[in-house]
Amino acid sequence: MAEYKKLSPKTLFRSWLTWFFFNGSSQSGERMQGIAFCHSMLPVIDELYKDKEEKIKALKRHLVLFNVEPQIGSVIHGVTAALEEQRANGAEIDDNTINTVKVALMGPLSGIGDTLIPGTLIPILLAIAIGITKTAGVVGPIFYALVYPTFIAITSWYLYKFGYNAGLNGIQEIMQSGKINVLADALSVLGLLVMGALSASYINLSTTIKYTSGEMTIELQNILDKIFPGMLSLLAIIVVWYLLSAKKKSPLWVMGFLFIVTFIGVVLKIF
Amino acid sequence: MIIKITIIALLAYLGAIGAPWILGTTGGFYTLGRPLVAAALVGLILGDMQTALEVGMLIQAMYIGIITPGAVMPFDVDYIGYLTPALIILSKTDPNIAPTLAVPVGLIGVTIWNLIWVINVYFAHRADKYAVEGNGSGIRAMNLGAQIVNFAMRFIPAFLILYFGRGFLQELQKMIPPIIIHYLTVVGGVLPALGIGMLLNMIIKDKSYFGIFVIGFMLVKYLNLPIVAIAIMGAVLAVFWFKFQGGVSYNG
Repeated sequence: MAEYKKLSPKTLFRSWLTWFFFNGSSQSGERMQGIAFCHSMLPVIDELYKDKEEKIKALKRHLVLFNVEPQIGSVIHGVTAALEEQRANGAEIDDNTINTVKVALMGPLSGIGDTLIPGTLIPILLAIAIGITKTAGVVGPIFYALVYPTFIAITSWYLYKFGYNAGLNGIQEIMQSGKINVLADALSVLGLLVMGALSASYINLSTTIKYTSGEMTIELQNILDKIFPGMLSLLAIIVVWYLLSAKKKSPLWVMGFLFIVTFIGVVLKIF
Repeated sequence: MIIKITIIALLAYLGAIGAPWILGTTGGFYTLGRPLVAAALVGLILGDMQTALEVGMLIQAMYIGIITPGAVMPFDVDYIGYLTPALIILSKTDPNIAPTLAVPVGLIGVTIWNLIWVINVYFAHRADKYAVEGNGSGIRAMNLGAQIVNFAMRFIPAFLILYFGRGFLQELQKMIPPIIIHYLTVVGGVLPALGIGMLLNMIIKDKSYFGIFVIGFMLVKYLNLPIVAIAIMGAVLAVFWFKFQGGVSYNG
């Protein structure tokens, strides 16, 4: 019996590192991150397949369309490396199986990844960084530039190894346990609280409507501030959110809407 | 000045989506390409950190919720992050104009990205040919080769916008009547609602969660608490949220 071919830790690390650096390099409308995926599999393919025909098959297999939130998506590469290893050792895994596994993981990991990373973690860290910048200046951006990449690099490598060790079943177990959704839900609580705080400082809409009667001037904004400070700003957020979520308008459409409404408001001397 | 503009344009490339050199997407687009980080670098290069950070905080807050699902990008935060503060400082324009100035800059960036996305198809087809030959290095070269396109299409426009834009903005400023300045300030005040709205649209699955957002808003409006304090409170809350929803299993 032939000796079991096992991927060396060095190969796995090189595969992850290639993906970590070059995941977005050649993104295109047709293949998305497909070339980058194949690029990251090169160390794995080189180590496992000495036979030219097998190597060609492997390269073709990984050049197909691939798209995922790249930072936590590295778990898929780990799973794929493990599948390739089993295949090279004679397990009955064909091109189709490997591709099906990749596609099956792409969707859910993109969804959860976009929600967790650019949708929650980045805004929270940036909001904190803005808060620090207000009082301590350039320390704010330095804080973000150190904390975010360090945390993500460690997480991404950990997930690659996890994918390699746990395989498809291990990942599906976690995804089905619902724990990731609970985590996303808990983080969204933190995110929403911080975004509310940030909005209070950076969204400013106030009215200039005044009522003058003899000596007395009543400013509408003063009254509004006594009822609920920042009422109009909060209203603006609710309107934008409503247009995006319930009315399914594009961000660009909403931006045009804001330009027009404020223009009318300024002309009519409301704002 | 040419050297300074060149460095800023180079950074605008390094922080662009897809640029791999500084820790990939993580250190590039998601770090160097964030307006707060970009503005600090611009401030360092142009020697006006205070204005740069003021603009940086403003546009960062505005575009804090920009995500690119499936690489569909509504506004290019990297171009916004570098070109807006640089143009404001170079032309000595009122920082309150920044959110409005960011709009055309961001749209130019998106147009470039959409073009790159089409051009890169070429590299995919070349890579297919290398795969048939079993040539792994060829595939590597195609993944890296796309950066020539990315560099040319990011660096050159950024340089030109900075080189010609500063004088243009200076002239433009003299001609704008005060009412338009007032209008742009009002627009600048509501535009950040778009970024926040996009974020709410993404993370709120159940409308009642909007109440948590309102609490955060009130903690600043009524109590004037700093964001760091609110973030710590939120983190504590999130831990309990996680526990009580069964995220942690108890073992006696």
